[in-house]
Amino acid sequence: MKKTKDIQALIIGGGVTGTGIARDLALRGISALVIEMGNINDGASGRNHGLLHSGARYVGSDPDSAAECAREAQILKEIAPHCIEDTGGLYVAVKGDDESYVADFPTLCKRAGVFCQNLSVAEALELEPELSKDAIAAFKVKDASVDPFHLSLENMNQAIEHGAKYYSNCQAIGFSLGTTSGKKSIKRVKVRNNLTGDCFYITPRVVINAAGAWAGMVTQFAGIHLDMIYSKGSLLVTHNRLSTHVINRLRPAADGDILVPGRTVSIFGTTSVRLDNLDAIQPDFNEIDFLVGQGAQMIPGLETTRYIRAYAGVRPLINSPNELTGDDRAVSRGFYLFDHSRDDVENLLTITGGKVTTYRLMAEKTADLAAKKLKVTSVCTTAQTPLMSKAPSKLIEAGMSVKLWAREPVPGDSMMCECEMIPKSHFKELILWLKQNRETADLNSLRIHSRLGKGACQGTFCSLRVTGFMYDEAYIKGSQGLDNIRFLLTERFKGQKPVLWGSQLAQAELNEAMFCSFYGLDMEPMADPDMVEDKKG
Amino acid sequence: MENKEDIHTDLVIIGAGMAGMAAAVFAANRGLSGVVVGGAGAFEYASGLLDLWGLTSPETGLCKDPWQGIARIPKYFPSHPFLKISELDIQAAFDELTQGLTQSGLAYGGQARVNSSIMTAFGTAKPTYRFPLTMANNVTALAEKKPLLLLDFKGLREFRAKFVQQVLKSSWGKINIGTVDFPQMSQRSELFTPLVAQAMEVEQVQDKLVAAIKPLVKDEYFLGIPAILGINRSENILNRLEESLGIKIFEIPTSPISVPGIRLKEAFKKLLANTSVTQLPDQRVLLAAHSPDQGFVLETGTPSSSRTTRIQAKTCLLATGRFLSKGLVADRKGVTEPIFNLPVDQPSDRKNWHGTTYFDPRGHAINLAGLVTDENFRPLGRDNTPVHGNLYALGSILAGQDWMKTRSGAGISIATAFKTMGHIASNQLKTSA
Repeated sequence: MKKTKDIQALIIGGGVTGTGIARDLALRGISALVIEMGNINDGASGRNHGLLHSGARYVGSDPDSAAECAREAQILKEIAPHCIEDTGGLYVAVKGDDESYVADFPTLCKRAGVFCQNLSVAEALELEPELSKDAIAAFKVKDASVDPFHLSLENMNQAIEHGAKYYSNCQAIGFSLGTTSGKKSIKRVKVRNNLTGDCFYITPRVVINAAGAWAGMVTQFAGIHLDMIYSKGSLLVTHNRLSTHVINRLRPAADGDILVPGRTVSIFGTTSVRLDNLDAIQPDFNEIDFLVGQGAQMIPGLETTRYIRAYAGVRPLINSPNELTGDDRAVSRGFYLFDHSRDDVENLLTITGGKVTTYRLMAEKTADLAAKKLKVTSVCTTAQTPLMSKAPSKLIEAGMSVKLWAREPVPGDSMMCECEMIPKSHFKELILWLKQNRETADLNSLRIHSRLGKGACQGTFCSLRVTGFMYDEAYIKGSQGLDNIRFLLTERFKGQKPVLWGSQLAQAELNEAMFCSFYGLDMEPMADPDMVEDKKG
Repeated sequence: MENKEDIHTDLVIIGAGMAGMAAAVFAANRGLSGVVVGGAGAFEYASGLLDLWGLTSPETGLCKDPWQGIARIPKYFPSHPFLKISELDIQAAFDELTQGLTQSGLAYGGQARVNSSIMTAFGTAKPTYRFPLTMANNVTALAEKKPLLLLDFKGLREFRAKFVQQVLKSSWGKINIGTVDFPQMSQRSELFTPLVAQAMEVEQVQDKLVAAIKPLVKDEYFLGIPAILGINRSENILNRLEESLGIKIFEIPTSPISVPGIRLKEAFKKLLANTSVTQLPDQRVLLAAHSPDQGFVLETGTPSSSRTTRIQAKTCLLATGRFLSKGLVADRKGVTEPIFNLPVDQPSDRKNWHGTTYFDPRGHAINLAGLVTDENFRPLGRDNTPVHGNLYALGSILAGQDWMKTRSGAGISIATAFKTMGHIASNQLKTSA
């Protein structure tokens, strides 16, 4: 890696906002580099519901934000239909819920310009048989399910096709500030490769801080304090898909009130827990138990269903932005864009808050400001340009591999992953693409770019088959395969730990029996393998 | 209409995995009459290797001398089942069982008192106490590291020769690899080891395989292949191939569904044929009760039919395994034993079930959960006395052991079955005397 990179815009953070900004800038012809301290969507972008909001959730609390959601959701449905499943959504109240909120809901929707249609309880139960018999009211809305990984990968892929660059596992660790004609700006950014520990420098003209919950740590490098609030939300992934529609609890936003179908699974959440720091962003066991209890009021099956994972993300909220900057910097109440020239740093922008649904708009506003600073006049085209790259990112989509396989079977192909139905030929295509376009093609990068390890077995069988295949094709050598499998299983375990009961605990037992007791991946090799056997002993 | 069958017997063994089947064999050898109920799915997940103990300590790793490891048990596993069995009995249990298996055509070998290292399908070395003789050259090859040819079959996903070669090559002079089309299956894009093993029972297939392999054998000393050499006559098949190819051959154990596991299941079936112990395959316990006058009364059935069987027995052995085989059931609130609702020793809270690191050599606390028993493996009730004088628990359902970390799965099953059956046999003698 070269020591210094000269680019127009450095984007810190490879979530949906950062990659969205990269796409926006690249389409304007501005050279951009995204540095991400881990991998794409490691932060809140990959740790949410995957809900494309109709806006109905905010009609009571924030009608502007609701209208913004409705507009942006429509744009995303048009430019990125392959990342979205247009499921439709339901709002459902059950016995004991606030009936005045139920009564006001249609009026509030109308006022915010958000579609909603009244359903009888019988109609709702017919649409969603898993709903509680205690349902008392239901409305239909335009919610949809979106795959945020697919979105971010497509953002980044399209940006790269238009000249942008992406470095994974690279973290900004300091700014060098300088003064030119009386104005202070960031001259150089020190970056550490978290895998190798090597450091290098980048000299951007504009620095865009899209680090999500870590945004305050980035501004600190320029001596700027951002008063961040860390709000953790935990979610659960079910083994099977439980509903056709997105199902929302019809009550003021609270814990455990949204169930989103995501292709073959459902995602249920969430919670809101204040954190003091970002050291351990994991669901607590009591949050999981609480969520299950809340969810079961609306969908009784959530009590007995099999969960395969749990995860938590941190909402990057800002404590009173008005006071912070002295005037209203908020582009909308949904997200915050700061031009730090107000803090005497000319070329630093921070974009934070918001939600997946409005990421494109956030990117547009940020890129507008960056373009102005760079004196580039080209305008945003992200709302009209289809978000479709040439990369095989379609394999990230659950259920897609098997569809493609059925459509275009490859002779002699075989299934490597039975949970998610991914054949050898798809892994081969992905590995070749990764080799050409990325630095590494290992089990973990395959996981990031496909459904590998994401089904019920969480890597038990697919990991060893794909590793065998990678050896056969000489993509890996020596004992790299064992390290690959160790890494994948270690990573997968973190998300399973809070939901290891019932069938998923049985699966974990099989997994441990195989990989520890049998294959011995938990121990160093035997100290003294030099043994002479006695056949008939 | 419901169709009921009635069985009256001395002994009912619930569970047809390693512990249940070992108990059945020991019962038959002692002339006790009984029945074994339970699905035999467990053996499809068994490696076919009979581990006794493979860990010196969590700090130091795997060991060659199992007895040295067992001697340290009090320090690391203070309530381990092995602390209730003498070393002599543990050894006698292995000897009696392997003799039986050998008689039924599945010969086991191993060094007198120490573990052997077996090469796995990952190229890793697994310590085990007794192994099927079709893997004898596996142990020798791994120790001697003479020139080796590793072969896989096109479409067999669970075993890739290059995987093993790459992992082993830094410590091994010469490993050649090759891929052959398995005879009569070249049309298939996917092969499964049980399917291939079934085909290998036919001599014509063996001959065709020899013809396919022959051109690939050069000057190697050993030939390693995945464990697919038939189900019922694996040693004969191995010998036949060795003669035709003029090279020492060995099997490499693979992931489930495992052929050496299926061989064990078949060997047990043969071993119990025409004995005082009857196997009722695929029967699940639907109801279980105990009364002072009738003893244990079980109602069993298969998932596919409404026909049920009523079993009445004086003595009951619970060998139902852990979570995978549903001997223990966990929900969000805790772990239960579903047949007799016996108390399960377990961590106080679900958040303590697992540690933070998956591969932590100290293991996870949930794996030590299970049934607490008296010296003779009779599970204790909430009052710390045996729930019934004639109810026993054996195998991996027992508390205080982590068979996965300590590489002692077969050992726990075989040794506790032996001790239990010894106690039952001596009690019977007493009552009949």
